[in-house]
Amino acid sequence: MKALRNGFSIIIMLILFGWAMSVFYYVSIDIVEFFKDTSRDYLFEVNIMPFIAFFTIGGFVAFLSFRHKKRNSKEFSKAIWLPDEFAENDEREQLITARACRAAYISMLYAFPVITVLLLFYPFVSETIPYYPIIVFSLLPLTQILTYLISWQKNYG
Amino acid sequence: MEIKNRVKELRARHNLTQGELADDVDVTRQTIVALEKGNYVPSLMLAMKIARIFKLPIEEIFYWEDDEV
Repeated sequence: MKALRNGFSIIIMLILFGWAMSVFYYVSIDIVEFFKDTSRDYLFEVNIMPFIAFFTIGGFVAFLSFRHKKRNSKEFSKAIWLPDEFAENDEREQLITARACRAAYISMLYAFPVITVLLLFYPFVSETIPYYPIIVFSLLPLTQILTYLISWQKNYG
Repeated sequence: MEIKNRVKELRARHNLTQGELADDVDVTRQTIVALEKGNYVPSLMLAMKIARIFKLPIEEIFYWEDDEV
């Protein structure tokens, strides 16, 4: 069940990254405003809370992942590039991973048009939620990861 | 029609734990659990490794459900 735990870590990281990027969107706006009016005495303001959360939690998760791979991987140089939720220790796990990847690919085909349609609503919410595209775009990997994890759990049983 | 197996019975006869058999055939213990429950049909390679451990032909370990005596 390590794959499930790792999958949920990735989801948390994805949400934190989305939060950090949403905040960074305001930074971009500030920078653009600064270049329009350089008499202003600051370049941008930023809420660093999401960045601290992302790098602290992300650093911890990355450290655990690195340590686990170093101890358990036969080929560390290859394993370091693979997501933690890929468990391929034997033929059965390879089969489960392959099925989960298939399900995630299919989910992408359905999620993509839905997400594109959701982006069409951006002009309606651009004033209140300027970072709306970042949230909507984050739904794509979120959908795929969730599908992967559901398929994994179903087949692992 | 399903493929069944006698892995659990033969493992007990050879006094092997699931972990020991898993190590011998180079898979995870969960794969042996799944095999014994009938939830997983092994590859030819794994079936041959198991057959070698139990010193039996493959068809005496893995068989069609219909052939059950």
